[in-house]
Amino acid sequence: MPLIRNGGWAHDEYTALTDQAPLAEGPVLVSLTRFHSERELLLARNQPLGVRLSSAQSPEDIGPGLHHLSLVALEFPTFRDGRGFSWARLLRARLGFLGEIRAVGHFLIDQLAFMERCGINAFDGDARITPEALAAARVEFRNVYQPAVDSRPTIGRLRAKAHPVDWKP
Amino acid sequence: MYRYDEFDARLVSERVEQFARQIERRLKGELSEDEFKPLRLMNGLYLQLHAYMLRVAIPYGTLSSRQLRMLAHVARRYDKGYGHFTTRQNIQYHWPRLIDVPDILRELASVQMHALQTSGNCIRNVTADQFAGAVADEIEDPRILAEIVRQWSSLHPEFSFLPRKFKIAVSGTPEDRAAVRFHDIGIEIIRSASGDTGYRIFVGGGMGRTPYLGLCIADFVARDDVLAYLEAILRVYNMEGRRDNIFKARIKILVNALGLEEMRARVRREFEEIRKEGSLNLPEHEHARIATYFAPPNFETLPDTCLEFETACARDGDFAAFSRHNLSRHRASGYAIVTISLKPTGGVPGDCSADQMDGLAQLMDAFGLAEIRVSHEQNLVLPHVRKKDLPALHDRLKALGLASPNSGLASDIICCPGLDYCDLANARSIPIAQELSRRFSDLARQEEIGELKIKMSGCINACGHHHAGHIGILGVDKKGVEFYQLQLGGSGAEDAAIAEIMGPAFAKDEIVDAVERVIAAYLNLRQPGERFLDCYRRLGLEPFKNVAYLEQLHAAY
Amino acid sequence: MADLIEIITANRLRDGAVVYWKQGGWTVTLADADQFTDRETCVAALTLAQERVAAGEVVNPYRFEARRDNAIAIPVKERELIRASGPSVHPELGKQADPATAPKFHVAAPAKPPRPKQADGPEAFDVSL
Ligand code: HEM
Ligand code: SF4
Repeated sequence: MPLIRNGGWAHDEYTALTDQAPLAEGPVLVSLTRFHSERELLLARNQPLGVRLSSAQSPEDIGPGLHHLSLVALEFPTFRDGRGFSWARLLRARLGFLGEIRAVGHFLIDQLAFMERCGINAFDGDARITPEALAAARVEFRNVYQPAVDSRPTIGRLRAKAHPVDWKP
Repeated sequence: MYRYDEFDARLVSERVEQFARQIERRLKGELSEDEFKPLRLMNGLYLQLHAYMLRVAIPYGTLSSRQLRMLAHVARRYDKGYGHFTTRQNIQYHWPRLIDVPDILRELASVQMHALQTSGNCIRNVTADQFAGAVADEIEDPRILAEIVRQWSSLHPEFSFLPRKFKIAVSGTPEDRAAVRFHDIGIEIIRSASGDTGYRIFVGGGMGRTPYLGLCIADFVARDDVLAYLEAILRVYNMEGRRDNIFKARIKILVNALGLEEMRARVRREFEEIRKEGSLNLPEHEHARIATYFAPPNFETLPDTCLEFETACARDGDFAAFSRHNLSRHRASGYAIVTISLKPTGGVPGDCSADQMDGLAQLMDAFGLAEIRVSHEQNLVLPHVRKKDLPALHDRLKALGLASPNSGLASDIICCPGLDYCDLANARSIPIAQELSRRFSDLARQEEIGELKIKMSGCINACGHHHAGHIGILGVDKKGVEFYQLQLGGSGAEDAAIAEIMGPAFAKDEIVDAVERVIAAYLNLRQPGERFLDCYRRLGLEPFKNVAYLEQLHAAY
Repeated sequence: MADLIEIITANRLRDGAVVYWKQGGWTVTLADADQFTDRETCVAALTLAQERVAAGEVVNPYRFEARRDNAIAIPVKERELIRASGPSVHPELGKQADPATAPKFHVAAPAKPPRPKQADGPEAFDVSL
């Protein structure tokens, strides 16, 4: 699948490994189970390493070693399963994860802006998920009400700036 | 009332255009029906039996005359000349065409109205007491918090794809007119011993196939913490709520599975973390800014007894009856709160024609009334009417067919659309409500019965609040034929309770008789001054059950 | 004696109107709909009808059962009676309001249509949908 990273097409340098597959050279992406059972070995390789979470797995379950990962992939089994939005926020805001958070699976262009706001910065979806679609999604709404992990100022803050302090309706 | 500034207005317009593009993608085949359905639901668009249905939000139930005129215009231009007010402070149009929906939404946006999040698995339109700002014992106008929550929940990046829908209601008085304990989150505004205003939070209430009363998860949440606390509840729900079974996906199931203590602990943990981040802290000046929008009008200093009013009561029996039932005590002397019943004898509960809406808007302008409210009992409310205006106002309501003097009485029935419109229905509900309303049309008889809340749904989803009815009626399907279950003893008020199912369902031609027998039994059994609900609570189901099934017993012998 | 037949229905995508399958296309009038007397033909037609979902014509096609009385199809279930007519509480609205689309039976009057006994239908006809 083509990958979008930081807004543009990108080469996916990770090899996705099943739990049985022999370790490949270079960056690999493994399941949480495999990460847990081979943590020492995987971390000792000193290569980019990614862990793939099902939508039922919390990033808090990754445990020690999270900060040695360069990628966490969040599965969206269907676009209706919105757990990934919370997992991404936890990763960024609570766990301080700075690497790539990648959405994989089934999601819609209508969700891209929300995903970015929650901290997802790479997308591996179907043929409709393109950099152009992402660029369009980013400007669909000029402002937002809620604080999230992106740095967009909320409408509340913009209001405070746009109007004098003691502004009354 | 709240007025959009440039930020609110732009966001709503952008949402309309986004939805217009989603419709276009569907029509072009770029979105499958499976993908489109949740997207259209998030904008209040259902597909019903005969046509689409568009559910338009009436945030915290408040409308201006200009907005009411727009609702009339939409009904006339894009629908079939009427709308249906629901139990969640929305209005539903039952006949719009998909291709017209963008235009409808653009017109609504021009008067600061929308259909955002009126359906779908997201945070729904926040509801509030319809008497907000007008009743005496109010701690704080609940619409202030409701508006704050509306903004926080609109297009929430994290909570737009929840396991299931999420409904929030706010009440500002100890009396509960917003059914807070039947909501996913119910908020009661309270004052602490030290005099601070804050919020008591109930979680996990709901109706549907497994009704629960919300449980108190937090006794007192401080004002500036409230959004952080709500975000914490929503996050726990989004992460842990069940997604494998749509019937077990509401937060009430999660609360019940974890137990209240564990739920509270998990929410607490999220809350502490969110509070640490600090970005959801609600500054006092923001609360104050929103509050100014809901400042009450400048009430004139008027004596509480009013000659025009007393004379009209003595002279005009209809007006006297209307005054007995449809007026509530106002906080300002010389004023009254007027409930406009949308339950005329034999009518469709909650329906209002475009002409009636226009007539009401004219009346509001004529009497200088800035606001009209929508209640969860599917009625309308004029919150601030001078008593001396009441006789003239009543005359105009009468001319509009809107002067039914039955608020809170047996014929003030809550009723969902049922099988006459609804794709999910098992049975019709409107014809039963109509028959009941005709049966009890005599006002003297209704007055003898006193306060009685009959609530009816056409299927287990309980849109007509049957679980919260003093008498609840639920339509069921037995092999393609309509049947009706009777339930007793529910309440959606501060004495909230879930009604108890009586027994086997009644046939369509038996149910109204059965209700009538139950009420007759109450009249025989009650103690002086005892409401139906209290009588039931004292005596239990048995005596009522015996009479309800009388006919069946006779038939068996 | 009434036969049991089946009819294919859906809602039209662009306006939501109730439509019925008729010779490879759709009609808004139940009286004009194809009446299927055997399951196989009906299922085959439903497969065709379902292809029209992706094409953006209709939403959610399905079969329902009806009795045939002098060539008039009368749906067995209340739900389909109401879909074919309009809201029973608003005789002035929906298909029933227009002679061109009104069904040839009355929905409000016989509120409970007599249920056909299984034996009335063809033996091998499984009527459960
Ligand atoms: C006509 C189209 C409608 C459809 C398809 C519909 C659908 C549903 C469904 C599926 C549920 C159950 C959700 C659940 O338990 O998870 C529900 C609940 C509800 N609906 Fe509706 N509804 C409709 C109209 C209405 C109307 C007209 C009202 C108001 C009169 C209403 C108010 C409610 C309320 C109060 C609930 C209970 C919420 C709860 O379970 O806590 N709905 N609806
Ligand atoms: S209770 Fe059932 S029949 Fe009534 S509106 Fe809700 S889903 Fe439809």
